[in-house]
Amino acid sequence: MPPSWKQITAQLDALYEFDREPVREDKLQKGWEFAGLFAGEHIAGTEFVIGAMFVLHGVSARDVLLGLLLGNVLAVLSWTFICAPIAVRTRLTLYWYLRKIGGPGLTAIYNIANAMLYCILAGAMISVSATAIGLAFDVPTPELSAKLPSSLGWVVITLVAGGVVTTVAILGFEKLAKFSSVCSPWMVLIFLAGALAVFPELGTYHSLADLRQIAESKIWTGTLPAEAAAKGLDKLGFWHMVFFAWFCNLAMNVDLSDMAIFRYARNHWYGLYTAFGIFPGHYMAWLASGVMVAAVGLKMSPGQMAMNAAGLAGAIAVLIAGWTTANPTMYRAGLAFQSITPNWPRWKVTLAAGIATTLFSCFPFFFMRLLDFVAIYGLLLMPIGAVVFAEHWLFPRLNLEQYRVERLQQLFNWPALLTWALTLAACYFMPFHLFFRWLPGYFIALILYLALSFAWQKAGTRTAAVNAGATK
Amino acid sequence: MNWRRHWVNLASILAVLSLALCLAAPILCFAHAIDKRTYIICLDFATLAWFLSAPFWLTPGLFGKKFEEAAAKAWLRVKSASN
Repeated sequence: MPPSWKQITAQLDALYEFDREPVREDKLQKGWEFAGLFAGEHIAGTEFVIGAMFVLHGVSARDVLLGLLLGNVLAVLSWTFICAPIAVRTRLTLYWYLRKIGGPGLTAIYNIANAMLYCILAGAMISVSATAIGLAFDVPTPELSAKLPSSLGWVVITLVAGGVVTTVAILGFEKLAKFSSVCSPWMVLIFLAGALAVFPELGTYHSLADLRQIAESKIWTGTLPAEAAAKGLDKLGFWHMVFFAWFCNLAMNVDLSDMAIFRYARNHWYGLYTAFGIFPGHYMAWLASGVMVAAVGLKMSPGQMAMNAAGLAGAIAVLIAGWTTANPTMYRAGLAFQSITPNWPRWKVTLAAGIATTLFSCFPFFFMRLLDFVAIYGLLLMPIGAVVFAEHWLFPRLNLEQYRVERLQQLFNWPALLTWALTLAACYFMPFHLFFRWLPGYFIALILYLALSFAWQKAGTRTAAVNAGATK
Repeated sequence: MNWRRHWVNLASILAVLSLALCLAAPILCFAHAIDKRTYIICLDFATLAWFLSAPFWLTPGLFGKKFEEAAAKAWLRVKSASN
């Protein structure tokens, strides 16, 4: 018999019980600890794919350099002025704050949706690792337009890689998590090293002007490569870069997942510390992987790119980058899935998440279309970020009652659920590029939630007045 | 134990040096001072040195409680090591 909503929410509450209470003053962390935490947080195997994809999408050098710069600044500001202020005021994780606002039912749906997305993301990371293993066994990386597994060899490699990641996640997640912290400083340097070392292969240079000329003519040319155009890839420009860099961590900043981290911050300015992770990971590493893919003749294979640029160390970096980031992602997915599998032991849930992740990793569609997937990931969860923002900041200013669902002990916040569904429907029909839809969608979600909450609260007040009159 | 602290000290120095080599080798290659083959040998060597030394410095807890205590008194202490 499937578990009831009550069972699901009780199970979820039990899982997150340890961080139910707001963080106490004496537990707040220093700024440099945030800097250290973020420094290693944004370098993953997927950076090898994202930066290379920009080159394949025909971005120009000016657009990629300035667009990513502006987009990353906006991302850091989103952490500082959207996520951190709410976290510092409430000292709660998003899970518990959303539970107050959306009710346990909505929180459970949010968690399950998030878990599914985590599995796909972890699957893409395993696919990236598989491109490095494939080099050793002469298994080619699937074509740019491939949706289904391209060869038996690819399937075997992804299944084995997924199996190993799952087994390690079951046997010792915490030890691997510690080990992955060892990899971060080295990994940043491998990206930088790879880009610097292959630059001489792209042309001769004696001055900054020569370097600029190579960048504009050999790497970020501003024209869609013929193969990419034939495969149906669209050309990306300045605003695509701005929006991509801004929304690629939308789940963490605007959608407020990083409240879990910032509830330990002394003030909201600690959001600026995310720059320590964002600029090495989402600026330097993306530019570096662009240089690396240009050096292998625009062949989209992270393993081959890294092997060419940094030898065995590069191949190991691809393998480890995919592995160490897939591991916590799978763990988080398992944690969320645990809510719908009452009484399952931890290993069984991780195994289920691992099987789903491994199956996703067989399909090259997810990693070859990583840019679109990242956009969809942020977009799907974005309305919930808007709901929490509206309830936290706008409700008191508009004299709307905050945390009404919690007071009435309801399972669902219907205005929030409707806002989520209607906003996504509106985003689906928007007549512009996928990358740009989240921003108007965010404002639609804010307005919708305010309007629906106003109507809901007014209807509730009227019903209460009628009931009170009937009692008299 | 004293030898553990010395071990962590040695590991931290080796780890920092290996990172320096990871940075220096590509810069020299970029400047045409060394060829790509030499650069890759340097990078592989630095990677090996990093993974042999850095865990003792950054995550001594992986090697037991005594290593963790020793690391807390090492020259280059890393707070996250004990977390």
